[in-house]
Amino acid sequence: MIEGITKIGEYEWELPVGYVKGMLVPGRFFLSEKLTATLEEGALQQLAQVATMPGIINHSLAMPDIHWGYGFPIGGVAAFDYQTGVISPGGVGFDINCGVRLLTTPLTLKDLAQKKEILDALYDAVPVGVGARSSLRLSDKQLETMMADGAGFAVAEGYGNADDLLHCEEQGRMKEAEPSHVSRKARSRGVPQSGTLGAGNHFLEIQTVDEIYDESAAKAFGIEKGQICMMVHCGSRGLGHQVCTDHLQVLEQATSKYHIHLPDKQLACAPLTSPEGKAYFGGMAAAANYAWANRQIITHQIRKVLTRMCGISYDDIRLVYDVAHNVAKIEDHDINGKNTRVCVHRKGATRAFGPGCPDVPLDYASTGQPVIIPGSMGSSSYLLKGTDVAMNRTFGSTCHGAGRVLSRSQAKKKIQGKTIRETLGKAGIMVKAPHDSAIAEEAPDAYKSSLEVVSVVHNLGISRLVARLEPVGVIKG
Amino acid sequence: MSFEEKEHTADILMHIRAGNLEDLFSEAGHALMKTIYRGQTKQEMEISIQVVGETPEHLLHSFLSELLFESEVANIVFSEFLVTIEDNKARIIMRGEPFCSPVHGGGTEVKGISWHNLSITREKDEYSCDILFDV
Repeated sequence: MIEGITKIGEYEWELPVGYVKGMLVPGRFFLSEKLTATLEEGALQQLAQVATMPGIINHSLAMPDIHWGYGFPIGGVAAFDYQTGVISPGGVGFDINCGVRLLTTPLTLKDLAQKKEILDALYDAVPVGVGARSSLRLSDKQLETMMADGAGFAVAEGYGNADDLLHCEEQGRMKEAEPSHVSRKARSRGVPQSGTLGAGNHFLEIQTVDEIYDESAAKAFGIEKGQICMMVHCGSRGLGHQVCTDHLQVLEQATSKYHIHLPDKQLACAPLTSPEGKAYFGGMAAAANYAWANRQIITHQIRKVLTRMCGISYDDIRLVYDVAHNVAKIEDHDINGKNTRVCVHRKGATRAFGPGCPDVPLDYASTGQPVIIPGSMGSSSYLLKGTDVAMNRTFGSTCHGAGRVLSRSQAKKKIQGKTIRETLGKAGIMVKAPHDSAIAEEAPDAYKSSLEVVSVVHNLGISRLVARLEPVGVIKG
Repeated sequence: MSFEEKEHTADILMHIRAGNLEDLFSEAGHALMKTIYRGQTKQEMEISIQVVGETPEHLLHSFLSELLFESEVANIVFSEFLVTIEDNKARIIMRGEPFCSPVHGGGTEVKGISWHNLSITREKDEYSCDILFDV
């Protein structure tokens, strides 16, 4: 294990104040002994640097899918006092509201005799990969409404049901959105990409529910063994990327203006109550809304394909939930017995609110919110539920995925996309992507074991396993 | 004058080297385009941009951010960069051709240019820097 770290529990480790100069609080991260072999010194350095930021509360946290990023580590969580703390794009990332949604269908594997044709039709319906353009032609006014209303915009335009909104984090809309803080450049990137999946680790998967761990929660979420589900992983596309780029420039200057001393320029930030901080938050929330609308439009395309090809009705395809895993939110948390307003940054981390929390849908109120953890390509994904433990220990947060262990270039050197496609094909997993190189970059071996990661959060109790889903068809961007 | 990918778990970290600052910018532009797009590119179209920045690092960051924007919005794969730097301004003439998926597809989408460890160093006659693309 890397020097200077203390093990303080079976799955809990501490970075003491002093690990890097200027830390205001300790760092805490959660790993099994097995996962410590994947821990990078660069990620710990970033975890410690977050602890130097003004107004940080309790700890700089990292989930078991921690890995080296920029600014915050991937898997990083930090809460800042609303009155004295800061907001930073480095704690959110360029892909604002990158997230995941899970849909159920009344289908089972035996209904997928035409799996290849279904996958082809989905591939045609949802633009994927570098340079892909949307067939939608949003007007300036429509884009403005999309940023203000999020998934609600898409539903109002005919891309879904009102019930879908009830099953999205924030009901698919951050009310703090201020489209006026989204530049012309960001808008010009957003228009041609609405309803597109993107590239990299973004995907659309046909999955089957392979195992139920918690019958009661699964029933509440509408999940049954053998059921075919659809999972969508994507974010705010070029619009969100540009919002981050634009505001980073402003916040870099604000960092000096407010005499904030940071060890990494990528942590550029401003007080939450400052004009610069509010502008970023408003723009970020508008981009988050764009992302929710984007996933809603993709959902509509999936429904159209499945109703046409599988003889089921549009309303038979039900949204279980939609989670954001790159976002900053204003939330109220119990801090040392006092209800405190904070800004929680989750960068590669998922909200995991427990039973009875505000913003958990009414039909899930006694269960806790669904937490969707996508696996790497060809590996298991997991459905979990939020818990009270998460509320008390991690500002209602848990992991977001498996977490990379190999760089993209290492992955491409190690194994060819064609070989992966053939291996997965033999296992009954059909893969479709614009090019084999996209498959090689996302090789299953490039990621930690998703089971090992979710086992840690389950055993810690910061979320609890409900079901395991196995891929049977994958569309990679 | 070259660029090469260094190991980084989550993103793409490029090491750029050149004999002068202008060539360093040009190589960084090639590194970005070669990350996103594949295949050979002709120089059929031209766009000029101008960026300002307090330091060479700010100029480079602004140039690459602008290149990413122009390439995505105009749907052009750029393969030539003529760079002029004066004081705190850089003017870049960028040449390339329209994106064509069968020719250029299969690269890695870059979401943004990070500030992670971005520092331009000069040693004798060589300029170099590391730059991290969020992918």
